[in-house]
Amino acid sequence: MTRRFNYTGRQRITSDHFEARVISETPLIASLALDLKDLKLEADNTVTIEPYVGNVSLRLNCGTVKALAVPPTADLSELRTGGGIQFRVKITGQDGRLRAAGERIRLTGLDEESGRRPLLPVEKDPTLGEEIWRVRVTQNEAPLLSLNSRIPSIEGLLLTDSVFGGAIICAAVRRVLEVLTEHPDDDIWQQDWLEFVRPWAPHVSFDESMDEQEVNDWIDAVMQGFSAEQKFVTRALSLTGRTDR
Amino acid sequence: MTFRKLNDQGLERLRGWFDAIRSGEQQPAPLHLITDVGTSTALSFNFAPSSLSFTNRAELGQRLAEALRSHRTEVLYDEGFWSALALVWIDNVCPEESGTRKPGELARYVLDARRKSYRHLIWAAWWAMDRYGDDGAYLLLPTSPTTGQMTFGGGEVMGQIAANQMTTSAPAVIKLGRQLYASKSTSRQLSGSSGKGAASPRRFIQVLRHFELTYDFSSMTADDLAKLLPSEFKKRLSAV
Repeated sequence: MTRRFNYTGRQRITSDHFEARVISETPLIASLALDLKDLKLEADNTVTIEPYVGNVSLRLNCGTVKALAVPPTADLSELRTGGGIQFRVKITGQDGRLRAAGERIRLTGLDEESGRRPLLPVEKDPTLGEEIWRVRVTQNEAPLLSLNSRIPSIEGLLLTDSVFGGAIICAAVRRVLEVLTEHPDDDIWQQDWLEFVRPWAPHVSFDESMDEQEVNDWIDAVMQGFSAEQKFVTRALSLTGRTDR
Repeated sequence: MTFRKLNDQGLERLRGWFDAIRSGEQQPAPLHLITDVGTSTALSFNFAPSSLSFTNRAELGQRLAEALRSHRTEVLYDEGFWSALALVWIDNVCPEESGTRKPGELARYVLDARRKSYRHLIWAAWWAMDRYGDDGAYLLLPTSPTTGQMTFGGGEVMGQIAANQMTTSAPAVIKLGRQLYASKSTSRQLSGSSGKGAASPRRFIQVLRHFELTYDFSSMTADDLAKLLPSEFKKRLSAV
């Protein structure tokens, strides 16, 4: 497994510090708010905000910690793709080193509650051919569950049909966990998922010495706990009017 | 006549055509999709792809960058627009060989804006040249000057360097990639710019992933970045 070290004591910026919220859909305008009060920073550290999607990003220079000049709004029309726009926030010292940074902070929609971030967003995809679903996740790309748009109301089925939904969600979560265990120290989407699964695997931490069997055992433990909480089988049985014997 | 981009129906039909020829059916390219009103929509600005001349993807990207300079925001991730261009130039990007076409991954022709835009043979050509100028050419030019000029997807260099935000948001990384993996005289990729070994593009990205925790690449120069690289890269930097 890859391990990455934070030797420089870089502080973490989260959605508690920064919020970008849509205030206009067309053109796509977002309000920006940054609060650095609980971070230990030097007055002359420079502040940069980078909205991005796919391969394209913008760079907003926002002054220094002492003379913060975050624009109240930003035009994000250039980044409109249908994909989720995210933000990086960087606080950099005069030596060019990062003092604090945050990645993958979501743009909050018009009607969304702030701070909410789906771990496994769902999208309808017309390119899946005869595949019903696919989970897309890599070390660098946050998990995304694609459902074949040719199946009518497939998103509704995912929620209402316990057999259909349970079968997809369990397999999708397991796939995410497999990728997670390859790079558990990364901070792109991995830390949010580790926090999510912690209740079901509280005593296990990753290190390079873990062999394949130990990793698989960890995934199985998480899946058992997750499935028990979701009660997939119980809900499926209730649909048929039966119960466990 | 104003160029027309594909609408959702046109995109679906184009995907269907690729599925058909991939399964061995012989069907002519469905060029009518970009003229039929049911499968296409007129652009809101004047644009004539037939007027552009090019011999490789870097030249194509340069021509597109010039032609679309005032319309970046409109076309940036317009799947119908870029997929229509791939259809217009289908004989370049998916040529017939012995009477049949052998398409690669669908994302090379039908833009997958959310995940694999860098794989699209037309979009990525425009993006690399528009965003990085001459520094982007090596992402598009194969080692050989004679074959695959329009079908070369950029290989491991493109797959590693253009596939994530860490690199694409920092022009210094793209420029340093050029210094490592491209000929100074031709901007073509150097032979041996693939694999997983020392100083490979994959190693380059692995190393940068460690440094990105400490440095803001966007505020650095390529020379600053080069000084951070471990010794395995020094040979490449001094060789080109």
